Amino acid sequence: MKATLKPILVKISLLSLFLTVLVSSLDAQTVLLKRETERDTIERKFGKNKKFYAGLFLGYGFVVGKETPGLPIQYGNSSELVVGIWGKRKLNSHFSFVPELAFRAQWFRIAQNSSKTIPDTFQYELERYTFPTFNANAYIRYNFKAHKGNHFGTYLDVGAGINLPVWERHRRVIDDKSNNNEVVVIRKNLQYIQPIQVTANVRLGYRRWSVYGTYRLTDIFKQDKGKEIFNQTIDLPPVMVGVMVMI
Amino acid sequence: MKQLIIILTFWGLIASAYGQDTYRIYLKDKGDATLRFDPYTFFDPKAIERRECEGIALTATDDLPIADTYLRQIESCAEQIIGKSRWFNLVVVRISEHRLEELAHLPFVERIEKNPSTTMQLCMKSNESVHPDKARFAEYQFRRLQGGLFHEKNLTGKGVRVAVLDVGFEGTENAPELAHLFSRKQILDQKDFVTKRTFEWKGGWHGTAVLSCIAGKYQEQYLGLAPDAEFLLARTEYEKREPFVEEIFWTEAAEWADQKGAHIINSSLGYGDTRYTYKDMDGKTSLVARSANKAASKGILVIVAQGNEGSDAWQFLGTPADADSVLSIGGTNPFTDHKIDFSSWGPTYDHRLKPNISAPGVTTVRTDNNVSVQNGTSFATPLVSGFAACVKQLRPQATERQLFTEMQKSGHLHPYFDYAHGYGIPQASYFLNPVQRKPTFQFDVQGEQILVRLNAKPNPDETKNLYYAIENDKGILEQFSVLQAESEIVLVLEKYVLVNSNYKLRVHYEGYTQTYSRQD
Repeated sequence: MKATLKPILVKISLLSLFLTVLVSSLDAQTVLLKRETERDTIERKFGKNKKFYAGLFLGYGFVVGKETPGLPIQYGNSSELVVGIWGKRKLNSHFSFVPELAFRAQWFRIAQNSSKTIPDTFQYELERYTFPTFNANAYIRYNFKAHKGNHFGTYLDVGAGINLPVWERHRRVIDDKSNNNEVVVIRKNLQYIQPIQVTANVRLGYRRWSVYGTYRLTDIFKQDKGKEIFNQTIDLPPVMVGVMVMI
Repeated sequence: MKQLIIILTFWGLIASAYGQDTYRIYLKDKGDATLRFDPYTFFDPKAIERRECEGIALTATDDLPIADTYLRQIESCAEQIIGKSRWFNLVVVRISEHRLEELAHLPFVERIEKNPSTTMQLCMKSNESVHPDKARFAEYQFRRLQGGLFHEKNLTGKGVRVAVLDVGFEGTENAPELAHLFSRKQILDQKDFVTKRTFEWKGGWHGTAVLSCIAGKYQEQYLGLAPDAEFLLARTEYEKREPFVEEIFWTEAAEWADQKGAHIINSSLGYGDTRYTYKDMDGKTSLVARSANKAASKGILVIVAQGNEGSDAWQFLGTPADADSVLSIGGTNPFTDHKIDFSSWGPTYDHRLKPNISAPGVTTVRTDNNVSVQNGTSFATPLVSGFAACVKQLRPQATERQLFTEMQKSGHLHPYFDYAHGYGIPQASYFLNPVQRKPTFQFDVQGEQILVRLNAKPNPDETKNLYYAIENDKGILEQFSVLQAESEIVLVLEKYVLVNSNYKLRVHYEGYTQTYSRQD
């Protein structure tokens, strides 16, 4: 048995050696550069001024607009931060559809003065409403010029959006001077907050940079609850204006 | 709300300021300019000589200047005349929309086109990279084109006039590497087509670097091949922005170069991604491509950079490299001799060969205040311009078309070509000591496979490249590749890649090119 196996093993070894040499000789093709033209000359569809484009955006805005009597706002300290992704589907040389998904956090700082009556008349060291929301927007983009090159250009976006509050916070800081202490009171799950907000949005952009404005069409606070709790309908200023950069 | 309105209004004002429009006014005829044109006073004697050599009429209609009477009437309507072209009978103006109507009714106006909108983009500058061994690269860029062979025969570009169209020539006047051009009065004239004011040595050093790669001398080493050529320097570019009107500046500069008797135009400039789509890279769309072709039709050899977008999303050449009559120059890697990554790919959108030839894409140049090693097809281009000046000196009676063809034939890969290298790096030996190359490989067809078998086993200590391309029945390369030769059989291809007998497999190895087609 052993005598018959040996020549077969030798043959298999020789064949393996031959195949190894053959494969290694074919393997000697070190490709330094390769280009397949037909594939490469297909026009790109993804780009700033192509059929599709997408990216990240970052925006920072400030609260403007009329405040509810009894609920004064510190305008400079009331703001929002938006971070999200955006896409673009070009419809023709001037118009595009621009959807967005974002995380939008808004802060409304309540001015502590004698005009403040809601939710109470107490003067806090700091009082703030915070609304982190999931935000979805859809715009129609009008490009002022039908650019041929691959760049953003100058454009006007008009659209609408919805904000879904993830949670709500009413934060109050009391300076307890008698005990040389600071007391922080945070109220969560506020019953008088609307579960959804609808906004009308506008944005004017040049290249990656834009200024934007949002106008809230719905109230933040539930009107019936406001009346029930505070004896009047209340709301926060509906307009945000800011600057945005698209990455 | 008030703040919102203020901010939006402010932004709108900014946007409208950027959107100020310019128009191209094409005129019907040359009016009274026809009567007063004397080519012998209008053209430099060298331009007359070049036209005679090319067999071009001295009073072609497109050479006549735009009629003064027409210009005066346009000037009275327009806010500003930005530029004009006698070749295209074209005036570019900035004008308000309500006065445009008035202009359109002038009897000599043929048509009005809105200039494409203003864009912002940095010009095609190289990526700066500092290599310690400036002398080594300087020696290489001169040697790789066999500059020594030309200089041994005293071919240094003497008597050849080169126009350099660029962004700025900062530092040129004080550069020791270019001092000989001033002492020997080789810089004949310079003009600023951007500001239309007196030329100043500013606007960036890109043009200085380009000039140094034609005629510079660093220590005892020539940086370019034509230190004795004559130069016309034209500023046609804004330094930090790229409005479309630069193309009319380029056209004006090319017409000026024609009038001044230039034999060669070197243009290390190009426009791509932010201004055009790849579809526009057909050599017919952009004004600058049409101007480059027109310059070539006047007998000027136009040499332009292919572009530095090879590894960017755009990938392809820019314009005017897409013009069919210009020599577009790709960049090679000095260490491997094949395409350097940033060099833009060809072909043109209509599948014409680009780049036409190549040159080293890493070069030692003079900048505004020192000598450094820079990357870019911007600097490969003037190496070829210097080479072309030597060829023109050798063959003064050669026409532009003959020079164009011979320059391609002098490429080290010729007759092999591809869309990365064109015909390769021009070699002086083609003009001075032509040698018949012996076969270095053969095709070996075994069953369904095509093998490329080298005649001599490659030396493992040397790096040698094998180039191959598959050309389809329409003359378009479907694929091409560069392989490192490491064994006797370098390439194994399935026969089916050659779809029919009109498909060609073209292979180049060590100076020898052979083509294979299926016989069955």
